Amino acid sequence: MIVELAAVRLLAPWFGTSHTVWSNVIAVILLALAVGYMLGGRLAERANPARILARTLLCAGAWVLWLPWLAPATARALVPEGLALQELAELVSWASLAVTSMAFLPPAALLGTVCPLVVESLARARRLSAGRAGGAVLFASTGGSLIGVFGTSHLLVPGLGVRRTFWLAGALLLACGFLAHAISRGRGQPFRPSAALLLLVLGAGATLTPVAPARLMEGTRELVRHESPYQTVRVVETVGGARPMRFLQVNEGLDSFQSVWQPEEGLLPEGFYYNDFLLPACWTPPGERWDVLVLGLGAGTALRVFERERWPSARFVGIELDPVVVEVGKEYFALEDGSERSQVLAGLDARVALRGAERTFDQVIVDCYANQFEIPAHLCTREFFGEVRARLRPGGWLTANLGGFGLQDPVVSAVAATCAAAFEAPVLLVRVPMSRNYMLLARRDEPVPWAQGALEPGRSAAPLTLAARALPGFARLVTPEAPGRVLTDDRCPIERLQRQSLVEARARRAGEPGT
Amino acid sequence: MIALLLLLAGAPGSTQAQDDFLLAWKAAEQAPSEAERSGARAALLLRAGAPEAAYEEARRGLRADPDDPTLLFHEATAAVWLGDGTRARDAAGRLLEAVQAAATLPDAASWEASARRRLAEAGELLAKEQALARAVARARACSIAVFVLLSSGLLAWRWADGLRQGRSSSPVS
Repeated sequence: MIVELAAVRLLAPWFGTSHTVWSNVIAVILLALAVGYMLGGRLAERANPARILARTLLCAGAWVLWLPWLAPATARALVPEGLALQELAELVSWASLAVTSMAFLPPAALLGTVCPLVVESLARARRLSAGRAGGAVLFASTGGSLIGVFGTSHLLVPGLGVRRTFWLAGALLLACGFLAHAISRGRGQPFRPSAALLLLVLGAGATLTPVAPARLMEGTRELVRHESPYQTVRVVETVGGARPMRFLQVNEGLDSFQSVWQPEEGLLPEGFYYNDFLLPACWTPPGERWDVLVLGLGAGTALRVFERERWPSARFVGIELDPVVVEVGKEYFALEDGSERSQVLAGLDARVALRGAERTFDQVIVDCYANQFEIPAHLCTREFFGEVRARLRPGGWLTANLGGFGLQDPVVSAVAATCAAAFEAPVLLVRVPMSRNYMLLARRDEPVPWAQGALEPGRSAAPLTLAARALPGFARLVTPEAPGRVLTDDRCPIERLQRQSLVEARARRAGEPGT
Repeated sequence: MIALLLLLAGAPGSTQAQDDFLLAWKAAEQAPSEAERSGARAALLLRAGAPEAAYEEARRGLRADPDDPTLLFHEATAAVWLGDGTRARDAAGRLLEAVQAAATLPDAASWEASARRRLAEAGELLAKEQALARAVARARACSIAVFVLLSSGLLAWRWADGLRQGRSSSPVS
């Protein structure tokens, strides 16, 4: 179980932790175990199953020790350089399956033989019935799996990191192998140190061999990398430019990022969607106080965009699921916490936090993503947007960041239609210039600024000018009556829509109708 | 995306007034022909950071004048921006043909250089697309090979095991 859970984390810097990757890992491990059970059953019929068990454990342990080197090396060989995130989406299913099959199938199959071999050894040694021996082994193995699940997710990976978790698992397997070897050897037989020495050399080699790191974007260097309970988190900084910028990336990263930092506060260069969280200011002058709830805070880029000079009355409550991201934000992204201006709640799910909020806000920012471009299913439903609406003051704004390939993109359209249904009013989709992001705008009890097929002109004193967003074709009004799927807690096929979005974008590029 | 954004990082954020764009759009509407209107709008959309819309606008104009070099240039530029190597190569190829065929095009050498630059960029995109297609094929082959090897190994082992059991089988009383 340690190997299975940590496998996804080992692959994460290359392929992410999407459902596709999880499915591939689970499927390959199950297949390997099935094969292992069958082989183990046959091998158990032989004269000394305990000796076979010892060898199996030693081989599996040695392989597991090398996995932190083997899996990245295989991934590096299969993934070409310079891919964009949406390009990797085409490759991720097959490449993650290939790496899992080549790296994880053999040790998992070896470990699959363990159960029948232990059952047989136990039954013979203690003269137990097959049922009783099997029951005892299944009890122990399921209990071990239980410990493996919690231990890996909550202790080993966050505490030791992925590589050391594999080394620990490998070392445990080797120790069990030696124990089984000692038991199976019987009295009077000499101990042969050659095998132990070989394994020692293998183990030392595994820990000393440098591991191929995940590729960084050209022109950036890595400042720090952490394994959080949820993902691999790293900070990269541009090198050689006049204006250094930092990006928070998770897992496969590639050309995407979760947070951005530049030395000065305020608006980021054109193309960063965080600026568009200020769109409400184009039409609404801030009062004495402007309370903002940020769901999906990341390292706090949105807060820095609302910098003091431009919107001094803004006060923030930021919610971020991953506490490591918040810690990184404080250290590398100048994230304020605990000040009069901002309060950060780390380790909370956005929806749970929203339900627990006891006050209302002038603006709710939704910027929640999992696995790079997957909107979590519970954060894009009619019920969720209904809860957001309930936390808005009259006239308050929802601003949500959506990724897609056009104003008619399946994901963008469905989320906008869902929001319109929840607000029972038209909502706006605004294209973010120079990017593939779209800003969803909704208001409580007030109409959105839309006139004559375009955004209404913004205030001249606004911190953000509409610029190109004022052009025809840059925004779309979505009404509650518009045809389109409304996503609900009961039925939210967002993952299917995300696949459809990629397929349609690819089909458009190939000049074919989307499916 | 980061690379693109880093290129833009020197530009100040959202300082261009909305009026500039709206005035330019209105000016584009006043152009005398459909092709010129589309050309002006496509240029504006490219400047505004909407390559999909610019591509569509250029295509619309090309329906009125298929050999207009400005529209072909905007089409190729938008296609390169969108990372669409096939369309970029087609548009840049047509641009080169149109430039070479035009007898009275002012600054023809500069046009030709632009067309060749877009062709080269399209070539790079196509090479990248092919590398991706090869990577998908390689990953698929590796996955299938592992499962074929596994199945073959199991079958062979069963067969050998059967043979061994057949030789050593003792009669059951």
